[in-house]
Amino acid sequence: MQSDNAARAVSSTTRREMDERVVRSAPDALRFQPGVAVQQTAHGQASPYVRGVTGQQVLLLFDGVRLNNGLYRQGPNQYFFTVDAGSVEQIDVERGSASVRYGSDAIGGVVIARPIEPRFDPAVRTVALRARGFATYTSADQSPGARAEVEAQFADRVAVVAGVGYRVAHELRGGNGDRRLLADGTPDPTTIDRCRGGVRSLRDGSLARTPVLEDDCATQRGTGFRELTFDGRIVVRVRQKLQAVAAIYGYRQFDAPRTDLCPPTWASDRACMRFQEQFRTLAYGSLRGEIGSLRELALTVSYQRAHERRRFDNPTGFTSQGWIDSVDTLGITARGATPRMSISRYGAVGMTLRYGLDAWRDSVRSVEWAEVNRSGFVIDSPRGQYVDGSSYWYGGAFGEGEISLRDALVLRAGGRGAFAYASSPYEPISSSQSVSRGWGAFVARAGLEWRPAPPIGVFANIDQGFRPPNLDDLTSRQITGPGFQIENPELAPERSTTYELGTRLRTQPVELDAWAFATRIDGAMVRAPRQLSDCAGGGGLCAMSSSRIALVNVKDPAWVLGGEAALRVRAGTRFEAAATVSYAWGEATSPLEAGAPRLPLSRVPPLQGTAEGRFSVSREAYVGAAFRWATAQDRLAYQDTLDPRIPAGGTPGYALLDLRVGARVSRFLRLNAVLENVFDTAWRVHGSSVNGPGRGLLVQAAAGW
Amino acid sequence: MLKRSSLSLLGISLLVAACETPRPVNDVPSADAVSDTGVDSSVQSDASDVTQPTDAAMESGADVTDAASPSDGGDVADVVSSACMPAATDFLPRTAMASWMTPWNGCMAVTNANAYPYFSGSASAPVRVARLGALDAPGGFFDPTRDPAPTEFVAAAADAGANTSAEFLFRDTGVATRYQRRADEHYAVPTGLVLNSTYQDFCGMAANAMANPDYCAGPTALNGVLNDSLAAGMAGMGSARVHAARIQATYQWWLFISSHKESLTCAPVSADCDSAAGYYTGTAGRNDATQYGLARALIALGDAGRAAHDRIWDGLLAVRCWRDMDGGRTSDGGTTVPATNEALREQARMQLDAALTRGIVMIVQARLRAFASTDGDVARAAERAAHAAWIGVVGPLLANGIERWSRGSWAARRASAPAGVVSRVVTELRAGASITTTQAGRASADLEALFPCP
Repeated sequence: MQSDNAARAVSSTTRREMDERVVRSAPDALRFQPGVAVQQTAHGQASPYVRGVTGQQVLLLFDGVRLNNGLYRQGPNQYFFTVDAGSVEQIDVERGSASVRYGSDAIGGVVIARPIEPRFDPAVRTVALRARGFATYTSADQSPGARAEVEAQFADRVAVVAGVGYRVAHELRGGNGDRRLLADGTPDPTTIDRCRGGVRSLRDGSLARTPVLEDDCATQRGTGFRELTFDGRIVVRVRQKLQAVAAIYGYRQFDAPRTDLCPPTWASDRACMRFQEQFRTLAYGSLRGEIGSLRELALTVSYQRAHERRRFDNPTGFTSQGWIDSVDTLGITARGATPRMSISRYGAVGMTLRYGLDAWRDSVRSVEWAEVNRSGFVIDSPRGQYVDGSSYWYGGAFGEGEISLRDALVLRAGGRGAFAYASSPYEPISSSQSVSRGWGAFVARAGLEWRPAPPIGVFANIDQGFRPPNLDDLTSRQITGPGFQIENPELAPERSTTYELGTRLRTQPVELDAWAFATRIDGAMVRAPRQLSDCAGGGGLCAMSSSRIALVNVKDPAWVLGGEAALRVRAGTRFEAAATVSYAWGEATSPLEAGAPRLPLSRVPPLQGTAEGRFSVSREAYVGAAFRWATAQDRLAYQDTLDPRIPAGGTPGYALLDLRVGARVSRFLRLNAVLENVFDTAWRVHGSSVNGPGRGLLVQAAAGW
Repeated sequence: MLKRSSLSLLGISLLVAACETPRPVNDVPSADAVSDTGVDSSVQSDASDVTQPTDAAMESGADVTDAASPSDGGDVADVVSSACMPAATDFLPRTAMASWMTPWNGCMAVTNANAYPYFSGSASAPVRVARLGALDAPGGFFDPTRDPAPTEFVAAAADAGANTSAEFLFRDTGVATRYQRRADEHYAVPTGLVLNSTYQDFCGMAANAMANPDYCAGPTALNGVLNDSLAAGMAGMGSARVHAARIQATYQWWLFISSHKESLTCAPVSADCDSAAGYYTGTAGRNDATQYGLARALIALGDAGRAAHDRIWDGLLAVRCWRDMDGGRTSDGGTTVPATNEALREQARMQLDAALTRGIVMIVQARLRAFASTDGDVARAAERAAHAAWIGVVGPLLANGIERWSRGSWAARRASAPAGVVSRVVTELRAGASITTTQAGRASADLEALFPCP
């Protein structure tokens, strides 16, 4: 199963791959996808960069339901981490702007998580129960975890799957924990730089300012957390090709520090920003399948609640601060397609239409308070990160047509009308302006697919993206990596156009995908410096931070250029190898008033790639190896120079080797193991606060009955 | 049975986990609870020699009057600022030939001796200090002739937007968190600490601060006093003006070492030169009617203070000129090109340091005079206690510096001081809040001998 937008640059991670890699999280499952970099601001947070952008500019879907809401932040956010990798069958990444099909926020691409479906076994006549589960242990973060799952089938009408998982991650050990010691094993007194290894500045060789490394020079402070997941899915066969689905997916994360703020570089090392609660619950009901000539039907009503409770503890200060932000999202989507219709006498020319509409509403609750340390005295702030009672409406309708000529030439075109409306009340004490703004847009796509021979496809696509400013852009006051972000209620929407050329080869021994792209972003939102006097209403942490920023639309178009290639080779039935290489280059008008005319876009990943090999020793056992690499990234935006997540001058490159082995040891039990980062390299993905895991063992034992 | 129990437990734990924790509700703190708030004892090093508030200073001024009894006698002389001669190599922007003087003749940035040209349009230190000017305005929070109300220490919920309380201003201007990592760069740099991109994180680490209490003056000597005094003032314990005076003492010392520190870290990040100026003068120009921070305190001292103020301005512009000529002319606000001309940097910094030190010494002398002037005046006992409390914080810090500062020319200055003066003034200043009027008079005179106008 893969994205149904197959004319685009699409890649997938399957359940089997996730198991064999023993992934720690849903974002972790994307590390071998072309065109994707997984940035981590904390060990319990991760954000996929797709074609050089992330956060609000990448649309996240779970089973067709938007996860993005009106509080998604500019830059990396943690929300894809709230998808339980254990409940997912496959994750697709569709690269490039794609708002016609998927709606707003699809500037850089779309990440589509597809949940595990309960099986309908035709042999079952009455009731069948199955149970399965897995336990994992990853040594770098001393993290045990487990998921249990039960599946039930009632005749051929109803199938249910339900699962629950739990994991405890302790502080993560990064690579290369060499300490500077004299021959007698005592610390070198000539330097306070007690670590020899670690991720270091490209400019002056100093240790990256974040995270704080413990005495072993490898264990990273502010990286442990706990998570609980639960899910249930019931599928009822209404007709032969029509199903009703009701599902709930819950994620509960506790006590997850934000590593770059635990401690922040601008306060004592005892200070820590912690996500005490990072919760998300998604529930939906859906009717899917075919009714008469109506194909690919999906009528879905969904409810999602995202809840964050954060606390900034500063025991050496006078006060600590707390926040609660919750957003309730109601959504409705309707999609359908026609069967292929012949529009020529002999059927040489066929046409398919797709269409749909969707609408969403976010309701926001947001509070902030300060607590006088050790006294319990609470000082309420007049507003939270957002203004309590804000709301955000968005949605649209789309139509697409596809005309195929003898299956050799396919023309595609489509358009979407989109809308968004933001409302945020006036709050006088904090000088928060009232916001009541709406936007409309039309975006379009067109594509040409040529198949000179059955296994070969050549593609040329133009697809547009649209992202209206959301409540986070317009109204938030918050700590970000580069500094404190002040709201800008005057922002205008971002619009993007992706131009891409690609080719795809599909044969049994060789699969090849190669794409080149250019994405133009008009009105791109970037962070510009602001002064302390811009901290409206005093601004809480605004003034504490080392710097202040605000989002602004740059005047001239921003560009992201790049390409990806993915190759998969099979030799017989036993050997399989895959490799990817990706590059993105981004640039925008400088947000500095007296700055250079153009500067790099923030945190665009460097040239990077992967290689994997897998050899089946027998039908039930395999061995494998994986290699990941990235070059240094020293193309920095203005905000990157302020961001302690990025070592001074840029992020160094890295090369990592993993070894894998797995076997079915009995009818009920399968083992997978990975020796990750064999050479214990110190590394981090550009823009991350957290160094990647050092050498360690990842083990998964999966059982099923 | 076991299976059923397990399922029940699982269900309960799911329900519990699914419940979101509400925001905390306010419990009105008891005085006992608040009295626990205060100095972080694990960071507040014993070695810092900061005098803790005496019982006398924490209570009514009458006790302090007793401690510094009229029998101590003695007058404190006004500062005499004659014979102020700049060094031959000093940058003198107020003179017509400044732009021709070697080595300053390459400086293009300073075209107006009365204005500081910012590297970065987003410099925040000047604004922080200007906002804190609400506290040290005449009749304001720091005025030793009045007792601030508890609500002036900590904003009540309804006042959160009013921006007038001490707690609010210290927290929300970001000054409080900067106390927690500020280094006094007059002391020797800890072994192995190099001026790179992690330099200023050093004292934020509790272990580093404890191991280097003099150098890490912010977390070890200032932060705890600030928190302790805010908490006591908020709870209405003891003399409010004593608490305010202690807060002011930490603030003024912090401004002094901050301006000096920023002139050093301006080498890797030129925008820090803006902070050096900002921590001295806020957003004000040399001759502006409204001044902030240390500049306000100095100008209030009359002609002598004004002269010291002008010399500090010269020093700030010297630092600005050095950086202008040493890689600072960049188009990105000066954040990327590190300075390399250490000789010129040290020359500029020494000019600024001498002037700044002279300035803080004059502020100490003024406080000693104010303390002495209340001797025997029962009506001003509370004010006297406030002055004593201020001296209790700054006196030992200055004493430590006189004894142990080692960077720049400090070792040489100590060596050339008149015999016995150093040890005597150190003893006098370490008397702290228990200082007597006689000691105050001697200390002021000794300081004048040690720190002649630059």
